Amino acid sequence: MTTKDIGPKNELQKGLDAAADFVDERSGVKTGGRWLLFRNIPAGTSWFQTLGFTAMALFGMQAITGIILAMYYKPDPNTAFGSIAHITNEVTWGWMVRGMHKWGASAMIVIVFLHMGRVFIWGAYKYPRELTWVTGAMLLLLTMFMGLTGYLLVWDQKAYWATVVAVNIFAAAPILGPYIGDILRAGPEFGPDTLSRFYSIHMLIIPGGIATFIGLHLYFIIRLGISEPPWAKRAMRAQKDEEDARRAAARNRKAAIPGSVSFPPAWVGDGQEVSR
Amino acid sequence: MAEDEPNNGAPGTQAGPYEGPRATDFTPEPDHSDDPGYITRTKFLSTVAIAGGGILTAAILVPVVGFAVTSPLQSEKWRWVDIGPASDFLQNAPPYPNAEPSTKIGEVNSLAVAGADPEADRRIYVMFGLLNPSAKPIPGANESTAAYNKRFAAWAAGLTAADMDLLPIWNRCAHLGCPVAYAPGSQGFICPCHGGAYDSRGLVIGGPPPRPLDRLDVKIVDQSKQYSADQIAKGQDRLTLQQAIATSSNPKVRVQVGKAYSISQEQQAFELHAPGEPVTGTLANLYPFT
Repeated sequence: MTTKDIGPKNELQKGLDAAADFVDERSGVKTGGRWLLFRNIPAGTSWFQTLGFTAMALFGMQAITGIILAMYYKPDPNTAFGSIAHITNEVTWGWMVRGMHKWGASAMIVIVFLHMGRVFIWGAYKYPRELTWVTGAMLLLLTMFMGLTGYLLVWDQKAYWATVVAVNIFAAAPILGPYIGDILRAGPEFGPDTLSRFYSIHMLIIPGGIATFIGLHLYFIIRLGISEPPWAKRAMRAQKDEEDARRAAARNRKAAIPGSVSFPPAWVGDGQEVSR
Repeated sequence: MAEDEPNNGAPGTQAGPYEGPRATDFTPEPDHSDDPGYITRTKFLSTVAIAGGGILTAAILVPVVGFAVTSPLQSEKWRWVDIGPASDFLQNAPPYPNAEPSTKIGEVNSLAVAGADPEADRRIYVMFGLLNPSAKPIPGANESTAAYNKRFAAWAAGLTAADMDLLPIWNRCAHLGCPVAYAPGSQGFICPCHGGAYDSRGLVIGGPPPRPLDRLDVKIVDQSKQYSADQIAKGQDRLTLQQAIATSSNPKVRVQVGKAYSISQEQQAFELHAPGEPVTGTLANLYPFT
């Protein structure tokens, strides 16, 4: 028996292990990967907890299809609609990539709302996960804004007037609304600058914001873990214990001064003097 | 007892009084680390680094954000736009001898024009109609057709240019900015988006709009005559409707539209407001800067 028997015998396996060790020693990627992926999850975790990942995967699909669409799309009032027609009717698989982007956008809105509903019904936004909820709310706003800015880019009558109405809803907000409207449409009227401005917001500003907030959102989820379902036995037992303790305390208060409920007196421990 | 063993004051031994240094003998050197107000080298350098970084970041962000934001906020320039000869707009003008109820009193024209800003392609309806449309006689309950026709002809024969009005109405709905369309049957404007309805003078008769349709300043000028910029500014180049109707066959007599303005339901003029903003009432105070 020699130490030669320990470890991989396959030369390729040895090489791969050595390469992985080289990277891990300098970056800690194995530890980081385990921290990211191999987490403990509570009992009762189900398919409902996959909605968040679905939304993130859809964002990834939107990013990839959007990058490809940007290679063919021309954000100018004279050419925008024509380039959309070109993508849809002439470019190979253009109909499919544009379809993925269009229907992916709708799917993302639906999934994001289902995800929010799951978190709300499960009560997963409660302590200590308030900031996860807040970053998620920012992601919801950014996703909706993505829908608004992307809708205009087709530059047909429906897109144009729907966006006119949407921007005027912003502009009708009190006090600062008119300024927001002017900034959004790059002046008092819709024009060429509005289209390129919406394009820039749609493909540069908001994706950066979404990526940032997804990073924060994931960090909070990994740091704090997935919350237990409210009907988890452990959680329900803890809740029952809390409730029992509260009832016992209330009984003690009532015993100290009969009939006093609204102004409970200060009491000492369990009311028993310590015996010497 | 060995030498190196500590004397713990065991019975029968004598430790003697302690003669070494005592804590109370020391006066501690003043240490700046105890003083929160004292600026250490580290504190100073951190502050300089943060402030310097802030100034450099602002030097980049201020012009960039200003570039994105301030240009759209500039107030709109406007100019007089020629929309055609007066004969196109003043058709079927008074007098109306032998008028019947089916007679069109005035004529409604619609056309697209470039707005005050050449970038903004604004569409307007130019209405040439009665200043007070409700003055038009309506048949009485027991009135015979012949009697009504006679009454109508008498009323129409009395109409002069002073009873008429040339009114350019911007087709931007006062609710949320959709394009309104003129419905000849009901002689009013209807918005396709949310059902706003206006009468022939753009006053709200139904739906969500908070104020009537916006109007544009209009004038009829004789371009065969020369006017100085000062006279134009004082409005001395404007022809009255009566003069314009009398000379409307002259192709040099032109209709021009100018600055847009908002009106209240009482047709009182206000600065141009954006869609959705009321010009009178409590809610008008929500937009103090327009």
